[in-house]
Amino acid sequence: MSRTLDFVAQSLRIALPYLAAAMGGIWSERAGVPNVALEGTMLFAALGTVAGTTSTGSPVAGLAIGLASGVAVQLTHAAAVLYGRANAIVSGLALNLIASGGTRFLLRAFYDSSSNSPQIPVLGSRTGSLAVVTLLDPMTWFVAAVVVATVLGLERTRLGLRVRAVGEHPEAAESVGVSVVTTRIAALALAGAAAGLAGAWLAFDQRQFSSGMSGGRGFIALATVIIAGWRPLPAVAFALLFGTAEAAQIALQDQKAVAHQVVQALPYLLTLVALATLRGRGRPPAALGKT
Amino acid sequence: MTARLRVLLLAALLSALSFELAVLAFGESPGSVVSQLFAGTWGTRYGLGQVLFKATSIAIAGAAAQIALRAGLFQIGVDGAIAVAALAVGAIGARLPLGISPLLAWPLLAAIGAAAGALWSLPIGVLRARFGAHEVISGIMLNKIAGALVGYLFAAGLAEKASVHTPPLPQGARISRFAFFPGSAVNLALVVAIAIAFAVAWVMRRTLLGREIQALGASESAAGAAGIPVGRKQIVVLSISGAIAGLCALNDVMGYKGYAEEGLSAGVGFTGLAAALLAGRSGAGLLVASLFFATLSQGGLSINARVPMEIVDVVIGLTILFVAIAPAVDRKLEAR
Repeated sequence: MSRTLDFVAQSLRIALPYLAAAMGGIWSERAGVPNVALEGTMLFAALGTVAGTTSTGSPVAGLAIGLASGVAVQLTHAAAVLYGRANAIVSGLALNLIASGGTRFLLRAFYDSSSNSPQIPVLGSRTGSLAVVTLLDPMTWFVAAVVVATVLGLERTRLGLRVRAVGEHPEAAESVGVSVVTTRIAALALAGAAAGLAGAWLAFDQRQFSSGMSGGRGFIALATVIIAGWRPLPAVAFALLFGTAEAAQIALQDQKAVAHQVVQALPYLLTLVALATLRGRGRPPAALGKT
Repeated sequence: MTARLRVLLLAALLSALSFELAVLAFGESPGSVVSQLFAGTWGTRYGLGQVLFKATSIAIAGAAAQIALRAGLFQIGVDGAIAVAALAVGAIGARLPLGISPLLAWPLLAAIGAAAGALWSLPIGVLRARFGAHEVISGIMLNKIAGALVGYLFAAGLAEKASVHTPPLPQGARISRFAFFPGSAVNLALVVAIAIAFAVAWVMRRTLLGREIQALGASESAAGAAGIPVGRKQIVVLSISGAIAGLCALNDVMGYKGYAEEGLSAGVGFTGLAAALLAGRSGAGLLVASLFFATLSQGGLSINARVPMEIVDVVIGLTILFVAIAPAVDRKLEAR
């Protein structure tokens, strides 16, 4: 029983950063702005969380600074795409490169290390079984809140309606008085907070920042968004599926029957296979990339 | 001054400015760091040789990215193709007979590298053309998978005992270095890189395939309406791109190390993409952009004791961003 429970908890834990980042991807792409910058956003937010925590001594302040870092990255994306007329993929790739080099630069500047930061205190407690730890971890509930806010917010709020309108038909939205640029900025700020939460989750999970710690999770999250047809609920399902598959892998890894490199490659292989086979009824927002 | 040149100058100015601000923030004097960066690169024969050596890989990876960009595709899978090709060239090269002639070994290993790179990039094209999967995501995934696969194959017996590299290539499979740059790894692959850069520009301008790629890049739907088999051409372009990327093994494996090593050319694919984004459609432009990024990357090593060399990646990223926004900024300045 407890092994099953641990497995479920493990699956959920792995899915949490995917869930948060995927919700961010949905806000951005449903507003029509392609977002490959989720990866770099997570990375900067993870470092922001750690730097904020070590400098203030408070993980709550660290979380706030991490989220602010994520929002800052996405607002840069917004400025480059909406005002600078940059291709959104180019802007995203550039931001990822800046994040990968910039976080290592800052790691050396802050902590004089090229690999990792010192350990940080975390939110919640770390005693008890994995299931208990996960349930009592406030970060779990923050991610849950982001998921609920996205599912309901996109369908039921004025902002959600506007986001969908500018993503489908910006001219029509503009003609009824919805500012396309303002709406997209708001959507990208939300994306920054959500992907930032994913980065903060990684920082608290590993209790430190290590260089390149996002490890492609931002891209996997984006893949779940695409597979889910840009709809929040299916994205949640796919993120949970990915988490479960990876938890199964970790269980495999413990058995030493399979080479660890093969196990390592599985999430990426799974993403490729899923991209090829699981595309359902979803279609991209009509104005995606036409910024 | 042409608009493109003005845009590049504007971007260069912005990148230089942000570099100097970062240096200042780190508590160092920008002037002396910049002069140290140049002294460590263009200041000595060794430094210049290293710049040319790095520019070789960047230009080859850049040509791979450029041809895909012309078709409207972001080829992010260059790093994976390079890793797999380097391993293939190293593993097969090490098993060639000791007395093999370069006349046989060079073209054979080049073909192996190109084939391995093309094969590794094939899934990106197929996923894009048949399943509509975005090439950026599949490219990243294949890079990660390539890293794991190469590590696995090294551990499974392709590496020499207690090392992370293949046995050495026979002398005939080594590409000669230039004696003019003592101690530096710059080698004849530089000539190959220059040839590839111009060859890509020539293919784009003068051949039917080039015109089809251009049509694809201008508008997929228009190209399809004009009777171009869009999906098939996307697969072809990404495979050619992978084949070009595979030729990086000439520089790193056959010219520099003399064996394949885990992580040997890591990250050069992104720098190549950056060079291609700067170069636009020009072959000469690609070479200049490669020299620029190679100078930064080699210069990063020479200033590392004072300012972390990771600053170079930041500057490269900022340069891409500035080049991307510069036309809009330029238009706004013009309008005044």
